[in-house]
Amino acid sequence: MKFGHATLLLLLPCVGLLIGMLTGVGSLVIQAFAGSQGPSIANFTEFTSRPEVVGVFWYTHEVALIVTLICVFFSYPLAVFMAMRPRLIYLILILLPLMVSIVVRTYGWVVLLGPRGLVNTLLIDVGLIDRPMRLMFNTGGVVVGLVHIFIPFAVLSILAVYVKIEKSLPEAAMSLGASPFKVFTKVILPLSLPGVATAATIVYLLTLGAIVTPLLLGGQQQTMLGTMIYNQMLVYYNFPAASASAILLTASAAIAVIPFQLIDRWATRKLPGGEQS
Amino acid sequence: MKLGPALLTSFAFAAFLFILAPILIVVMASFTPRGYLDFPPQGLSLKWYAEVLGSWVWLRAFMFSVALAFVAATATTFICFLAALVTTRRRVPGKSLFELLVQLPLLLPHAALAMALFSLVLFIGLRGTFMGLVIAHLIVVMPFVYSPIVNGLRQHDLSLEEAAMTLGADPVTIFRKITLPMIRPALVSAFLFSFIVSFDEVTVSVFLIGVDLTTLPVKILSDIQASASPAIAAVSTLLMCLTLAMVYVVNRFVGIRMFVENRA
Amino acid sequence: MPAGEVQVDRVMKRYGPVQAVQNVSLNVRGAEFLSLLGPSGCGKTTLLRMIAGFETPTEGRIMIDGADVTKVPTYRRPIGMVMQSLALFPHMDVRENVTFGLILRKESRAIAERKAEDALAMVGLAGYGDRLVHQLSGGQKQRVALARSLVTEPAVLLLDEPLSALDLKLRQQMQEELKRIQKRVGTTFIFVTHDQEEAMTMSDRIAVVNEGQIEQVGSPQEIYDSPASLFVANFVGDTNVLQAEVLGSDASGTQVRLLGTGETVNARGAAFAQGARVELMVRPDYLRLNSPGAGTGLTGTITERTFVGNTTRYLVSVNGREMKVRVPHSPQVNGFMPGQDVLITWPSGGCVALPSTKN
Repeated sequence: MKFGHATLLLLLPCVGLLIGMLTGVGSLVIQAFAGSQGPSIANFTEFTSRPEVVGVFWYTHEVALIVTLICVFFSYPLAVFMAMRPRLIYLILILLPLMVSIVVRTYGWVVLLGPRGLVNTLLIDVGLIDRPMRLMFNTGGVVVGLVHIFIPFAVLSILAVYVKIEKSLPEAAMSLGASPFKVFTKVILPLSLPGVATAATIVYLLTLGAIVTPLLLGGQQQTMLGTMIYNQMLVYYNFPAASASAILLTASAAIAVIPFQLIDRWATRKLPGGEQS
Repeated sequence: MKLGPALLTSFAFAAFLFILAPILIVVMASFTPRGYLDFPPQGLSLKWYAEVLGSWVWLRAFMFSVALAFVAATATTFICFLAALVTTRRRVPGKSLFELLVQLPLLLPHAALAMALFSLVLFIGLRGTFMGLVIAHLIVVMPFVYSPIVNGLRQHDLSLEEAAMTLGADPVTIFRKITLPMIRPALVSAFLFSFIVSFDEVTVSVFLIGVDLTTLPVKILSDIQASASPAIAAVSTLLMCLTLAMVYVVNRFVGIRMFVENRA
Repeated sequence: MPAGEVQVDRVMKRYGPVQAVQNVSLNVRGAEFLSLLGPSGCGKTTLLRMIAGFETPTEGRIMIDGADVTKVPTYRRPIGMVMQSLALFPHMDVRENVTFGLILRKESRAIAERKAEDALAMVGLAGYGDRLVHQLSGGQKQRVALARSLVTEPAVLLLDEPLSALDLKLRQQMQEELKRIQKRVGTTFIFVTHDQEEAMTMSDRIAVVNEGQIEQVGSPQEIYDSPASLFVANFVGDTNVLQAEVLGSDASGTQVRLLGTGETVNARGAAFAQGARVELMVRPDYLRLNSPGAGTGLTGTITERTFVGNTTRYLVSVNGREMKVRVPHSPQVNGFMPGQDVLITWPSGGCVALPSTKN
């Protein structure tokens, strides 16, 4: 069917939503730069002048990097496995957790790692320890919880690229005398690298913005930027400070994912459409 | 079996176990007869299910979440369908900017998105209301809806519509008898997926709930912080059953593989 | 029954700066099988889509049976169409596909289903109504698409390279069947193709399209024997082109002298001014090979010989130029071998003088 100029009106509801979203972003920015007398950057200097807040900033990026590395490292072989045995059941096993609320999945780790959780009970029963160990409310607990929640995203990103690799390419490489190791490093890995870059980008961004998991598994000691914003807003009602934190979070996220995007650009530089993307 | 594949297989099963463990643990914990969580559960009991299902507070939160997810998913699917129809069929000025903005909720860190939507809802004075949550959720689920619908429309062969036209079908008939049936799977999966996303959403909702207005996941979140009652495990299990049922429906209608393809 | 005459009247189609169709006029007679033949991108499909109503001409008119349909939407035109992709509705079974147009024309279900069954029987698919589209083979899909578009009894059936996806055997079979069905239903067929053999086999007339213009309209034999331009000569069949100079020209023919060899040849072709440069076109299968000295003609040396079954193809070097000759095969004759000197002769009137493209 021909779509004339009038059909552009059909875009209006969607554009309305986008305008709403941008209004939100805009008023966030205005809040962040609001001072007692007109616009100021006081909220930002406040942020940078407090060492404990700056510490939270770096800690958040540190956790994000650790979670990203672990996720990519483990999800790659898992994606390879799923590509080799394309059974629906494996796909469901990966997708199902994605469909379960983050709260519920994090709650599972609370049950597992809590003072009266499965791990501690088992260890006490076996007699290895006699008092519950501190398994959560520390960095380890937060990282385990975040890896668990974000690993399906990483697997799916890598899988999507991996399954598109032409099956005849490894065979061609082998016919040219490449060993399985060479086939992997010279053909499969370079071709699947864009999927890895996407996985890393997604996991890094998701970790930076996480609130629920660090809140439940990190407690008050292991504050990340997400939980800090949550506290600033919902506990201390400091809207300007929370806004400034959100903006710094977004800005640093945009900068932090540049390396991953560069990897992607580099990996696809010779592929069709690679230069534009 | 050679060593490599065997290693890979055992690794994969270990990974699946890791991914499933916390979920299974919650289910198991929900059947404890005790007043706190413990392992292994001493006996089996459904008392926490009875408590949850008999509790008005939990039921209210559940119904509120269902209503919210239903309205958000229906409206977004409709809105994005209209938009995708236009963007896939004609030149739209500023299309790439438009599509980038549609994806923005996925690209912004969740906490920042929550703050932005909080600002918006505050700005229009709807904090703590159903409408406020609906507007925020519309924006949150938008990217999950727009992409599968666009993919569905791109795969839809426009020569089918032309063929119908040569057989005497006017535009309205074509839309009803060809276009809509052809992309129904994409619409159904977009709807169900956005329903699930909206139903599970916590991070944004937690900023927007009202005094006596809370979604189920937010209520779970605050209860976890406040207590360790196994009732939470029972609610979580019920929630998972609902999700499982929806995933089953998605799979029946369109096949679950669609989600993998959509990510490419 | 409507006659099914289509008039394309000085139609032009521009896409921005691109002239897809330039000032084309074409009269399609009722009940004829007309092919629009041309290379891809020549504008033949655009022309067909304008007749279908998918594209609106920038200028000009399109009439079907005397009525101006230029501004009439597709669904109100008395046409049917078989698309290149066939476009069978995958969410309907064969019967639903075939009755689709009838139901839209407010036929009762019973009548629609009876007509559909008849149409399916006509294309050799009686009893296939309950099949699903994806259960059909390529050839069966073709037949369903044909039945679906014919069952509504359109005045004109438009076919956009519907056979291009089939393999050669099936394709030839479908060509014959299309022709047979067309004769039986008496509907005007306008068939777009880039395959000259396909056009030759099926058409009553062929319109050769090039760069948005119609170069020639005529019966397959006219097109083959008397191409109106070098493009037509080259596009339809193999050809030899020789440079010549006009000695004399009148309505009955043109006498030319070949450049280089100085041979005098009688050619067909419109009146040319004396002394004008022309191109002399001659088909490889008009030419004959003889031993040197057996008469007048061009002398040359065989450089290549390829046996292709029913014919043998020779390349003959004449005065430094390669000429193609095709000789019907007969088992007793061994023919000539590379290196041999030969004399090329042709029957009078076997060649056509065409205006020179180089000035």
